[in-house]
Amino acid sequence: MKILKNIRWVAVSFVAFTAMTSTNAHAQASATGTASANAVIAKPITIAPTANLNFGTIVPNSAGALTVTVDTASTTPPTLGGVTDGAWVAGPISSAAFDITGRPNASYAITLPASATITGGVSGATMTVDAFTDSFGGTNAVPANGTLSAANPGINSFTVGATLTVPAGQADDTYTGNFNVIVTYN
Amino acid sequence: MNIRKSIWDWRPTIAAVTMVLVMLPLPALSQSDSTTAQITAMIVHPVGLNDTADMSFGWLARPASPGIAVIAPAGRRVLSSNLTLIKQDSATSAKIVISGAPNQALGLLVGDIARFGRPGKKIEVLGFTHNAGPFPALDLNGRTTIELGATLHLAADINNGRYKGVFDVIVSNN
Repeated sequence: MKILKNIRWVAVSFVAFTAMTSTNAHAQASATGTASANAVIAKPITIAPTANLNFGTIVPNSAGALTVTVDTASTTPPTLGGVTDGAWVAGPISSAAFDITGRPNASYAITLPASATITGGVSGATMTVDAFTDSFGGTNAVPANGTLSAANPGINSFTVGATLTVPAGQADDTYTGNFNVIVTYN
Repeated sequence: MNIRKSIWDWRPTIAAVTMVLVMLPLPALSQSDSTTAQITAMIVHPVGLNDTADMSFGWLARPASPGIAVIAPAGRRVLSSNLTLIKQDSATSAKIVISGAPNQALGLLVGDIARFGRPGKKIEVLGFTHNAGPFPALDLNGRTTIELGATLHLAADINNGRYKGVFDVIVSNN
């Protein structure tokens, strides 16, 4: 009796598992039901940078921090804050730019960093870049969505601006760093 | 033995639970991609300005009628016909050295006129010129030297003496 019970259980389990996992319809002479299996094969979303974020050349204040904001349109000159005797003195400036590809008409979310650090190549001094914004109006706190075009593959692009804080007496140097941007299908 | 039997008997239940779990839809895993972009900024010290040579018109005789002496930025002096030199000294133009960021564009502002001397007996220097061109800028090393000339106007009744004064040059980051 126990053996029979075990055999029946194995049989039930096998049939049920097969019905749930099969993705191919097998033609059978005595089919008693149909099951469908669906799968969406989507193009992966990809992002590639096409321009870097450049704040240009800046003279720091002798006292008090100075901020330089490059907007998503690379407006020149950039917006300055806290200026006393410092200045933004030369360009070119540019917002960062990115190309996106993926599934046609797909919506995607953009994740920007809260901040990034740039470091002087000679001095090793650092500065902070924050307040990242994208050309869809998104920020780190309030991400924005983009939509890929109807073409196949769908394409889209956006730009990113940010604010550089230059402390008083910041060391003369060329400062570089990186920031990360993530795009995710919605 | 009893325990083993008990687990054995629970197998259908475990299988059923497993199947239910398998049948439950999994949450959609959103595919994503990321990349990095570079950030660049250059910090430079404020533009510096140092005068390395003063402008000198030399030793001039008091004229019988108003006269002028012109110093070109390169230092060449030209006198009006009624002016003569008392002493064959060298005239010099003013020279300033500006430092700052490589290739930095500059704003250059020179005073319109400088007057010095005693009240009522002043001489005037005006018409300042320089050789920085219409778009002054620093070189690849962040330096440039600018020479300045001007025109001295002497009245006929000017007193003898040594006249000395200053004029302003303003250089700004553009």
